[in-house]
Amino acid sequence: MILAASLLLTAWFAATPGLAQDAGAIAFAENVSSEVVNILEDGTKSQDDKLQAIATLLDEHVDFDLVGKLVLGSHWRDATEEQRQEYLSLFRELVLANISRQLSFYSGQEFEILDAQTLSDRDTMVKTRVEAPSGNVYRVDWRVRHEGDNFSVIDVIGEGISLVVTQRSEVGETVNRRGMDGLLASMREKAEFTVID
Amino acid sequence: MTEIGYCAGRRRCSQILLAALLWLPATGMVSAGMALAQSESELRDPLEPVNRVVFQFNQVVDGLVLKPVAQLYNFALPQFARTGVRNFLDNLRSPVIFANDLLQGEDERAGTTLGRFMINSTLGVFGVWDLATRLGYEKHYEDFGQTLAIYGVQPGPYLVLPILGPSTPRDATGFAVDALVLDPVPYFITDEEQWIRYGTELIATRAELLPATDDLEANSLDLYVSYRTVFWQRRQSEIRNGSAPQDTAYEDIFSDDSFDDPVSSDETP
Repeated sequence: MILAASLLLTAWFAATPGLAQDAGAIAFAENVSSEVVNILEDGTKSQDDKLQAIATLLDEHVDFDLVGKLVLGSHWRDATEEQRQEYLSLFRELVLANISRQLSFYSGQEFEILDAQTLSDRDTMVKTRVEAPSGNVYRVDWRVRHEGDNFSVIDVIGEGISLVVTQRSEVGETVNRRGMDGLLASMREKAEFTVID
Repeated sequence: MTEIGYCAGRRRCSQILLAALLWLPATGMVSAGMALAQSESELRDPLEPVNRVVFQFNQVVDGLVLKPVAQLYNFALPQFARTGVRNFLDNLRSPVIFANDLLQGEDERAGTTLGRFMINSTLGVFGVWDLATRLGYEKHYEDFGQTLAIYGVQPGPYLVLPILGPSTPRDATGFAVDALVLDPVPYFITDEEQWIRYGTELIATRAELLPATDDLEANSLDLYVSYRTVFWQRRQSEIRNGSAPQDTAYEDIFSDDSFDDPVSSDETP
């Protein structure tokens, strides 16, 4: 009976690829967020160890190279090979630095997955709700890309504000005004204030 | 501004912080999702040279006056007192939210707003205690700028207003209509009380935005552009009542796969 039900369910998922993809994306989001919490609430780790562990975790689950390229958009094609490499490495560094800065404010937020929405044959938006101890509630959505058996985060939208859209505007404007080298110079300058590898 | 809520009917509400939350202030909770180049939904900025001057002026005033006062406010008042002030101010705003719920044809949300106002004005001690949220009537905001957007009025170009900050002709109009036409509160209080109310609203709002603006300043490559895109993304999200971006310009960003000439995501040279 259970076997029949699960076969039926599998057949149903197979017939509706969006649902299988969404279920996978939800499981992925639950998994990543519980790993993050495990690290943060691990009393045996120093703050630096925690940040290092988070960085490793994010490298595994966030497609920094793809996000970086999406942010650079059409300027990617005009960049030289060296510029591309330096850009991607600075982009990852700045995002990680920013995250570790935020980490210092962690104070036991509660988190709930609301639902998921199929955006395309590979992208799902996982919708979540985060409640801070102060009672403030934030809507946070994750855009999760599904390729083969692999899921990765490619955008995060907090209270309607997309990381990719925001970065694209800033990066695009900087390249338009100061060129690719000007962008890299600004990013280097930002990175100097941060200590993470 | 964010909704204050209560984790009711949670399916899974564990003690968790997301990696996503960490990114949230980076992208700025300040204000909404499509100031993209070559898209229809882009917020045009033909007045950029003038806007940048007003923006600089605002930054100076903010640094000299608003921000220090907001910091003092956060320092002097404990969290529960600040929550009480926010609840009181929002309760006074209920008639405007109710009117705009109705004008947008959102009957259910109008009912929620009315119920909240009745409960909080009485049992909630003049609105200081948000009992209604605990009873399941969650807070939401509406304004006449959003109502105009629902009616199909175009936003017009980006405007940076002195002191008030990022806006558009549509939102500035909405702001004036809310304050001068839809708001009944001025009929019941003196002008002086009215100015105290506006002043407190300005300081409390600035104080609530401190973490977000600090983050934006720490991370931005071009603060003027960051404020513009974050304002516009937030605004679009408010008009959609909180749902994720749904426009084609946003989807187009992710459908473009033409990156894999020399470098592709899985073969790092």
